[in-house]
Amino acid sequence: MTAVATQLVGSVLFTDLVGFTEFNDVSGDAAAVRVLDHQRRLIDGVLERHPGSRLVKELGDGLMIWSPDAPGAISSASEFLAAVDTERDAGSFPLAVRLGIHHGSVTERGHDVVGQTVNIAARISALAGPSELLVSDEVLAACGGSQLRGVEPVGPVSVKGVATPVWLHRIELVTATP
Amino acid sequence: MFVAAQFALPPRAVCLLSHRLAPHPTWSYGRPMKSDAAHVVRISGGRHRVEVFAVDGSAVRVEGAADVSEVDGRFTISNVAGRLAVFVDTGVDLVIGTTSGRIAVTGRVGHLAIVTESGRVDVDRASSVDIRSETSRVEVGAVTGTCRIRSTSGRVEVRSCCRADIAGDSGRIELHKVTGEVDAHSVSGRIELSMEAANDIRAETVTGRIEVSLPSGSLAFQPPESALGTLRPPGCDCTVIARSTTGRVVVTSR
Repeated sequence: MTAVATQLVGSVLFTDLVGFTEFNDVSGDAAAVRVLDHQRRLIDGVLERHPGSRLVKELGDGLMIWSPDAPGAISSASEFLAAVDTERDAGSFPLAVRLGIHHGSVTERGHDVVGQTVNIAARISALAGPSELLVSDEVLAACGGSQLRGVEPVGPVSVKGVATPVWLHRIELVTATP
Repeated sequence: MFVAAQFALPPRAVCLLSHRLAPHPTWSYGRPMKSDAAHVVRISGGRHRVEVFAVDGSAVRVEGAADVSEVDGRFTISNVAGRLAVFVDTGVDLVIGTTSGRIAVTGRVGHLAIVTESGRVDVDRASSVDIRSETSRVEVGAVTGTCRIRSTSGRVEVRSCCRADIAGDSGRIELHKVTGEVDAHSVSGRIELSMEAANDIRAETVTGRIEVSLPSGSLAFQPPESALGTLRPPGCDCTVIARSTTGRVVVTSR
């Protein structure tokens, strides 16, 4: 019997550690594992404060997080970014993180979620720089009346399989209230 | 078919545009129309060359096949087919997105945002820039404000800017005459910074070499790994955090 696929609408956040492959190469597997464990502790701490959001899966050094609402995704991303940067400033975390969020519909597949929203979110995160959060037009629209500050246009990007360009924005400083 | 396009009113053609007929997409052929209220021009291109010329007092003028619309001084140029040339007034903000093809911005513009996958990017002068590319070589002239560039593998060169926020993976990063704070990250690419004023610097690589040149007489505080986050001692002009996992780091005063 085939399970009925559940459609959801929400935000997908992708994170990626900048330079992790090279760090692993020069520092060894043990150091790389310590970084991944450290990152996992940081994101777990953030998601504890955002009950609606959950870690979908780890993808090498990246994380994929699902949030039922855009402000929740932005808050999670901002807090995770701040946590990583605080550790970096203290010299206890060697790498910066980049983040991207897209908002739209996905299909649940067990614990996973799949769909074009996921693919677009992954593409957005790849365009972010160290310690940077990029979001799509759809994320801003889904935030509605939330207080977002420091939003700068980044431009339209083409995503494979998506007919129209996805317009991106950089979020400098965030105060998102659902 | 330049002449035919001027008289046949095709949906996409060589066109000149006036913002005054907004909010509907409008078309004007035969003479440029003044668009002094234009403050943002957004260009969504494809795999074609895009050239923008900022000229004092110029109307927004588009040469090339594209759809153009305008709402409240915000112009959108999309579905670009073939080489595109856009004329704008000096100081206008620009947002440009393409897949590939050279992008050249000549003259002085306001905030400039560019996203492209490949194709060389040349910028003359801007009040601030945000440029993202995968493989493009990026050359920027003078930026009076923040210069933010992300390039996966292309070389980045900035001739002068205030605050710099630059990141790449493997391409070389060269910043000259920097008057503000610097954040420069690379994985394996070399970073070269030439500071015009003593300001805080954070330059990090995994394997790439880092070279920082400070103005003559500057006294930089370079905290060791164990003292990151500590306050700068009195008497120091700036804090320089330049660290690489395996690359060589050289900080000199000219």
